[in-house]
Amino acid sequence: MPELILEIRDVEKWYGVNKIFEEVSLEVNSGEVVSIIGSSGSGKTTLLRCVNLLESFQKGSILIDGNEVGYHTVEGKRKRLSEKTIAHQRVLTGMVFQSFNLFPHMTALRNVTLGLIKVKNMNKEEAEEIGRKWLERVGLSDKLASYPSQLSGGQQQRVAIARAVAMNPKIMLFDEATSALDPELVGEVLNVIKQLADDGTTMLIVTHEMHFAFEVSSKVVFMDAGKISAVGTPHEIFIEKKSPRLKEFLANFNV
Amino acid sequence: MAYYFDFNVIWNSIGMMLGGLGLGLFLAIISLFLGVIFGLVAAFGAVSSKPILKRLTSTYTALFRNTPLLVLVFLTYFGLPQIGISMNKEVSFIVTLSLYAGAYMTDVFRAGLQAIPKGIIEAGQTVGLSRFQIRRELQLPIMFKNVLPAMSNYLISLFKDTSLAATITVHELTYFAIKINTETFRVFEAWLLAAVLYVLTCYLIAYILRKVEKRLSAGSRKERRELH
Ligand SMILES: Nc1ncnc2c1ncn2[C@@H]1O[C@H](COP(=O)(O)OP(=O)(O)OP(=O)(O)O)[C@@H](O)[C@H]1O
Ligand SMILES: [Mg+2]
Repeated sequence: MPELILEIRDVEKWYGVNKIFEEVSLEVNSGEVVSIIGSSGSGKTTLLRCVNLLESFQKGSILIDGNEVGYHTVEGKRKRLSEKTIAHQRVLTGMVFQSFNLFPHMTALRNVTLGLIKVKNMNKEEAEEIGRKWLERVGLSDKLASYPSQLSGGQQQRVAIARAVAMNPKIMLFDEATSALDPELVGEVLNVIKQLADDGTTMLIVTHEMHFAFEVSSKVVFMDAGKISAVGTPHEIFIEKKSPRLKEFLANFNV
Repeated sequence: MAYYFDFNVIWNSIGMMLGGLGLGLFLAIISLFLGVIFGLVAAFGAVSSKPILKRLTSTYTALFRNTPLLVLVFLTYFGLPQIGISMNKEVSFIVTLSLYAGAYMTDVFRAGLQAIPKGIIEAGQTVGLSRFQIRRELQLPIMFKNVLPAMSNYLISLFKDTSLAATITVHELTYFAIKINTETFRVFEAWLLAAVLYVLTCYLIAYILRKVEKRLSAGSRKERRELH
């Protein structure tokens, strides 16, 4: 019986008067890799940001490891939790951004250990041991003391991945982790993500790398026109291409 | 009648002049220090999401940045005692100059905070840092690194502004220049010496601060080497 890690129930998101998406429901089981594809502006980034509570959402609920996050109900009213509680809940998810977002004034190692020390209250030695281990896993054991400005985009993104996984989250969220990279650096980052997938890391991945999604995913979600328009195995989505919209979308990627 | 230079009287009072210069430096440094504290508090108010804090800080900076410093000096020293708030002249000047510096630093810090990419703050949030930790670990150090040159240049500017303290008879360099002037009539020599002393001191401050800035970046290099 697979363990349910992430459960998105009927979530609806508005920016002011603009509805971004509605009726979004999705389940991710332990060890699964779920990819989200869809055209630009379809709300993929926004959905990930809702999951790690960087965005508020107006309807529905998100459960991680069986517990609702971000909101609670008092006297029948839905209320957003305090910043402090939300900060704690964010540790359940690890996020990798398109633009890396490393802490520019800290070494690669310090980027990874900051959360371990400040949030997980580890001592420096413990944290650095974990930091070294993860930086080694992403192939950067010789860059521990480098500052972000001294690293290539691919290396920066690998540090960002190490920073997120080192916190031991229940699920990793990737938002187009390779879109900002020069083509020759994409491979090294995808390899790291693939390696994490092989190790059984639970992941929700937004990507435009269709071959990669086909290869690593247990399940693929196609977002379109403010909804989840198709869900299926990589085979169902990329080979059978059941809906016309999906066919049209995938035609842009020669798959 | 031709003007004959006579620096002898001046040499006799150089000790006084240097003492005044020291006091001016002290006034500038302490005002910058206090101004940085005011500026930090106000800058976080300015970038907060609370409208009332934004209003308060923008009123503060608008008032202090749009009033000539000399007017503020007089307002504090001559005006406030009228409503029952009197301070001695040095304290009065420090209060004025540090609030004035604080208004400027507020704008510098606010710009520095706003220049930090939003994504970096969000990365801090996703790691689980609290709002306070994000301030201390991310916003403050990143901002300070960016505004350090602006801050050190401003110290020079503040040091020159201390000459206005002479108008309320604080015994700094300009005050002594006026004094020598009136007592000896060596007008040109007194002001020339004052100008030279200001210039040299400003150069010295700039030189020291460049060194400090270098040291700070060298510090991170050293940390790097140690880790290898
Ligand atoms: N802060 C915001 N305020 C208002 N509207 C926003 C905001 N952020 C995103 N949107 C809108 O929400 C919609 C979804 O944006 P989102 O970034 O989630 O799309 P996406 O699927 O990630 O696109 P892409 O593939 O280009 O990254 C877009 O129409 C966008 O204009
Ligand atoms: Mg996006």
